[in-house]
Amino acid sequence: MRLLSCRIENFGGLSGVKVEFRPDFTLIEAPNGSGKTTLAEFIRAMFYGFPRAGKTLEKNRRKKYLPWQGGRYGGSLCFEHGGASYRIERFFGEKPAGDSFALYELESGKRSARYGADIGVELFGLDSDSFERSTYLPQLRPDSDTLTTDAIRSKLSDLVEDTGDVNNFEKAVKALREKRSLFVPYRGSGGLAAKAQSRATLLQERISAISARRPELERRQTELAEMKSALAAKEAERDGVLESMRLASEAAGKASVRASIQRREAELRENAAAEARLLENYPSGLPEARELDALGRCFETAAAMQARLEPSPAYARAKEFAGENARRFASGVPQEAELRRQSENCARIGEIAALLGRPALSEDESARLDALQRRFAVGVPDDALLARCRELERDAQLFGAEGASGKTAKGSAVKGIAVFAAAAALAVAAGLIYRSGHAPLALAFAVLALCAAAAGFALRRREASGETASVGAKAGEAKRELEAALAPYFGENIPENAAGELAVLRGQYLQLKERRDEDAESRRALSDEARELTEQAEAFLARYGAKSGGEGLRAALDALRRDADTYARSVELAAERERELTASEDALRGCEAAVGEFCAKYRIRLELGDGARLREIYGDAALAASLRETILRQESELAELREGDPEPDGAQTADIDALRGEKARLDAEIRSVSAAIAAAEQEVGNIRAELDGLPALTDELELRLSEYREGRKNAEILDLTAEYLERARERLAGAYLGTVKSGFAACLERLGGEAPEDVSLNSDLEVEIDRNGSRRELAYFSTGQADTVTLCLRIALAGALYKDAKPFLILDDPFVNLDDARVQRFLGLLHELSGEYQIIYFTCSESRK
Amino acid sequence: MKIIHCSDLHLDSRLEANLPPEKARERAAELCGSFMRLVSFAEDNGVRVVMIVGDLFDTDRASAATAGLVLSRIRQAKGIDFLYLRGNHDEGAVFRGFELPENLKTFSNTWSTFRYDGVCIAGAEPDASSASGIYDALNLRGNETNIVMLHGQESTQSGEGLVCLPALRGRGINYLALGHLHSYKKERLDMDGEYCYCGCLEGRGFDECGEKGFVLLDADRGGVAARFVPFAYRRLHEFGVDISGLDTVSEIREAMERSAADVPERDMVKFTLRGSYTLGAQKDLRYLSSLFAARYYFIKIKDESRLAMDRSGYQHDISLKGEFIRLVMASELPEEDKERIICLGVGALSGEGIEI
Repeated sequence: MRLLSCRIENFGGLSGVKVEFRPDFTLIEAPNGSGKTTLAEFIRAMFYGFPRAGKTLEKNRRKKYLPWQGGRYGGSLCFEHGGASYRIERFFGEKPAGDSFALYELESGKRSARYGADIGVELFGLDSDSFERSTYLPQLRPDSDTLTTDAIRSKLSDLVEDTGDVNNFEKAVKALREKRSLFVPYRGSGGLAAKAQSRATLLQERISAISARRPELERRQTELAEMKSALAAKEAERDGVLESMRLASEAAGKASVRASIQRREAELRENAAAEARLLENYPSGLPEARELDALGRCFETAAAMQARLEPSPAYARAKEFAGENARRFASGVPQEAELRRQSENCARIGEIAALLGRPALSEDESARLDALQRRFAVGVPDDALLARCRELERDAQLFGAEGASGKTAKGSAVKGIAVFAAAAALAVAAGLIYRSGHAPLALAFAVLALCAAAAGFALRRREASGETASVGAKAGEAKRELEAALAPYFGENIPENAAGELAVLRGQYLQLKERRDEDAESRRALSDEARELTEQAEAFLARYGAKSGGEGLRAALDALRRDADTYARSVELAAERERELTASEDALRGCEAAVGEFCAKYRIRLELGDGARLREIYGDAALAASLRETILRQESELAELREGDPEPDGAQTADIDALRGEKARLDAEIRSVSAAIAAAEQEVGNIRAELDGLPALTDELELRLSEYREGRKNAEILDLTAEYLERARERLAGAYLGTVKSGFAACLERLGGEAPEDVSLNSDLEVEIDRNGSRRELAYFSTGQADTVTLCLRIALAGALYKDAKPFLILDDPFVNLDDARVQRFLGLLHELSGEYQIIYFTCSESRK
Repeated sequence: MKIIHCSDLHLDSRLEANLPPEKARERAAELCGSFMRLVSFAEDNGVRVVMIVGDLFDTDRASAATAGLVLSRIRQAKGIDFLYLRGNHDEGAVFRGFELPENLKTFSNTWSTFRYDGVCIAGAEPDASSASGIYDALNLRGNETNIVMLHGQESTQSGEGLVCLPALRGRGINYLALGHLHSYKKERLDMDGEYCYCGCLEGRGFDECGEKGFVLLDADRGGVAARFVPFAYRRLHEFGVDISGLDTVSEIREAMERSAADVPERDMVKFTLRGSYTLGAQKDLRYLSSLFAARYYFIKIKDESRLAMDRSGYQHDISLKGEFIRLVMASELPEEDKERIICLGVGALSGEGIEI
C-alpha cells in the first residue's frame, strides 16, 4: 500500500491543496497552523469518512473540518495497492446523508467497484479508530489511553488465523455475564438463585413452625382421649342413676296399682247399688232399647194421628163448595176441550164484532158514491150507449174538421195506401221468387202486383170523389145525436170528450157500488156467524147453570172454568180427607194397643202420649245399661289389677326427685365434656390439617433448594465459561504479543533508550518499566522517556499488525518532547523503516528534519 | 373365596418422577384414587378379603385427610375384611386418633390369624426383638389353605426387614403374600406353595416402570390360585435413546418417537439420551421437552449423552475457540462441568443464545 498523491478541494483550513507522496519518505515541513494535522485527518477521512458525530467539537470531526472558506467539502486521494492504482473521491455534506464516495482506477479512469465506502476497513482490516492509533503518530501525551482496542486485538489474532470468533469475544462474554446475572447478579441480591433461596428460607420457617405443632397434636390427642374416657365414665354414672330411677318408678307404680284397686272396688259397689235401686221400679225388668224405640215411634205416630184428626178449615170450605155446586155439576164438570172450544168461539165473536164495527167505504168514497148515484139516477149507461156516444163524438169531430179543410178523409187515404202496400209486397215477392229461379211464378206475382197497384189507384179516386160531398151534413147529425144521448147525465153542460168522461164516471160508480154491496153481504154473513156462536155459548153456559150476564160470554166462561176447577179440587180434597181420617183413627187405635201390650209386659203404667213418662223409662233403661257396662268394665279392670298386683316386696322406695336432680347434674356435666371434646376435636382437626400440608411444603422446599443449587451452579458454570474465554483470549493475545514485544525491544535497542529487559508489555499493550526492582506505569516517567517508549510501541505494533502489506505511517511531529539526540536517532530509524513503510513525516522544526 | 393381595401403595408419599407441583398433587390424588378403585373392584367382584401387605402409607408424609378417606372407604365396604399389615414405611401410628372400622383388621409383632371357610390368613409385623424367632412361632393347620402375610426383603437370613424364605419352607404355606418390592414377582416357595410380591399399585417414579397392580387369589380349603391384575391408572416408561451420530433435532426427535411408539398418551415417559454428540449437533432439549410434553401426561428427558471432543482437532486450532477448548480440557474441572463450559463458551462465541 502506497499513497501517491492527494488533492484537497476544501477541508478545514485547507483549500485547493495538492500533495505528492514519495514512495518511501515524505517530509512535509510547515509551521504550526499550516494544516499538517488537517492533512493527516484528510487522509484518514478519505479512507474512512467521518465517524458518527460526538457532542463536543473535538469529537464532531465533520463539524471541526468544515471548510473555513466554504466550497465543496472533501477531495481525492490516489494510492496503489496490490499492483493497481486507484483514486478515492469523497465529499461530505453537513450530515452523513449528504456524503458521496467514488473509486476510480487510475490507469483506465473507470469507476471501480473493487472497494466500497468502507474502503479503510476493507483494506486495513481495522476500524477508523484502530487505523488512526496504528498508523498515525501524533504528538504524544503520556496520559493517553491504551493503544489497544478490540479491533487491534482482533487484528493481532488475525495475524494467526482469521477465525472471526475473536470479534465476538466481547459479545460472548457480555451474554454470559447477562445470563449469569439472571441466576446471581453481580450487584444486589436478586436473581433466580436468591429468589429460590428466599422462598426456601420462608418454607423452612413455615415447616419448622408447623412441625413444632406435632407435640401439641400429641398432647391434644391425649387430652382428647382422656376427655372421652371421662365422658364415658359420666355416661356410665348417668346410666346407674337412670337404673335407680327406673326401680324407684317401678315401686311407685306398684303402690299406685293397689290404690287403684281399692278405688275401683268402691266405685263398683256404688254402681251395683244404683243398679239395684233402679231395677226396683221395674219388676219385670227393664225394657230393651229397641222396645223403647218402637214405643217412641208409636208415640210419635199417635201424636201425628191426633194432629190429623183435628178439624181443617180448608176441608170445611171445600166440602161446603162441593155441596153448593153438586147439582150444577151433577153430570160432571165441563171438559177442557169443550171449554177451550167455547173460548175460541168467544174469541171469534169478538173478532166479528170488530169487523162489523169497521165501515166498508170511507166518507169521501160514500159521498162520491152518493153523487154518482144521483148522476146515474136515470140508469147506468150501458156499453153500447157509450160506444155510440164515442162514435158520434168522433164523427162529429172528423166531419167537422174535414169540412173545414176540404181534404180527403183519412179513412180513404188509408185504404188506398193499403192497396199500394199490397202491390209493393207482391212486387218484392215476385223479385225474390225470380231470384230463386222460378220465373213463371215470379211473373204471376208481378202481374198480381200490377193489378193491385191499379186497384189502389181506382179506389183512391172513387172514395175521394164520394165522401167529400157529404161531410158537412154528417157532422151536424152526429153532434145532435150525441147531445141527446148525454143530456140525462150531464144536462146541458155536456163537456168536451163527454163520452170518455161518462165512461170514467160509470166505472167509478160501478166500482164503489160493487164494494158497498159486497160489504153489506159480508156483514150479513158475519152477523149470522156471530149469532150462531153466541147461541152455542149461551147453551153451553146454560147447561152448567151459568149465564152470560152483563160481563159477557168470556167472563161467564172464565167463571164457569174456575167454578168447575174448584169443584173438582173440593170433591177430591173431601175424599182424601175422609181416607185420612179413617187411616188416622186406625193408627191411633194400633198405638194404643201397643202401649197397652207394653205396660202389661213390664207391669208399669204408661199412657199413650205421656212423653215425660216415656222419657223417664228411656233414662232408666239407659242408666241401667250404662251402669251395667261400667260394672262389667270395672270388674274386668279389677280382675286385671288384681292379677298384676305384686305382693309387697318391702323394698325401700328411693327418692326419685333426688335421683332426677342427680341425673340433671350428670347431664350438664356430660354436655360440658362433650362440648370440650368437640372443641378439642376441632383443634386436633385444625392441627392435622396444618400438618397435612407439610409434605407439599417439604416438596416445594426441596424444589426451591434444588433451584437455588442449580442457580448457583449455573452461575458458577457461566463464570467459569467467561473466565476461560478471558484466559483464552489472554493466551491468544499473549502468544502473539511476542511479535509486538520483539519489534518493541528492537526499536528500543536501536534508539538506545530503555533496556528492553526493563520494559514489560501486557496483553492490553500496557507498558510498565522496571526501576529498582519495582514495575511502574509509563505515567511515572518523564515525557521524553514515555514518548520514546510509546513511539517504539507504535512502530512495533504497526510491524505486527501489517505483516504482509505494510501501510504508510503518518508522523505528526511526534518528537517534540524528545531531545535532539533522541530525535536524530528516531529520524535515522525512520529512514531505515522507509524501506518497509511509506513514511509521511510532518514537522514544523528545522531541528527535527 | 376371592382375596386381593396388594401392597406398597405409599399413599401421600413423595413422587420421585420430578413432576411439577400441580401434576404431583394430581398424581398423589390418583394414587389415593387407585386404592378407592381397588375397593370398588373388590365390591364388584365379590372379594371377601383385601390383604394390604405393608406400606399403605408413607408415615412421615401421611395426612390425616388421606387416613380419614381410607378409613371411610373401608368402613363403607362392610362385607369385606381389610387385613392391614404395616410395612417399613407405615410403621408409625397413621390411624392414631381415628376410630377404626370393624372390618379393618391389624397385626402386631406376633402372629395374628384370621380364618375364612377353610382358609387361614396369618400375618405378623416382626420388629427387631421378634424378627429372629417369628418363624418358629408360626403354627399352621394342615387341613386348611394357609396364606401368610409378611413385609420385607426376601432373604436367606432372618432379621428386621427381611423375610427368610428358607425358614418358611415346609410350613404348610400355600401362598406367601409379601410386600416391599415394587414389582410383581412370583416364585415357588416349596412343594406346597408360592411366594409372591404383588408390587405397588401405581408407579411413582421412573424406577417403577412397567405393569403395576395387585394379585387376585381364588382360595378355598382345596388350595389357592393367584393371578396378577394390572390396575395402575398410568404406567411409567423409560427409554434410552442413543443419539450418537444424530446431528439435527429432527433426527433425535425421530429416534425418541421410535422408542416410545406404542406408549399411550395417558402414561408418563422418561427418555434418557445416551451416546455422544458433537459440538455442532442440535441437541435442543427445551424444544424436545415441549414437543413430547404435549403428547404424554408427563415426560422427562435426562441427558446422559457425552460431548465427543476430538482433542487432536483443537490441538493446532489457532483461534480463540481452540485456545478456549484447550484451556478447559486441560483444567481439573469435573468432566460434566467441562462439557457444559465448552458448550456454553462455543455457543456464546458463535453468537447463539445461551441455553443453560
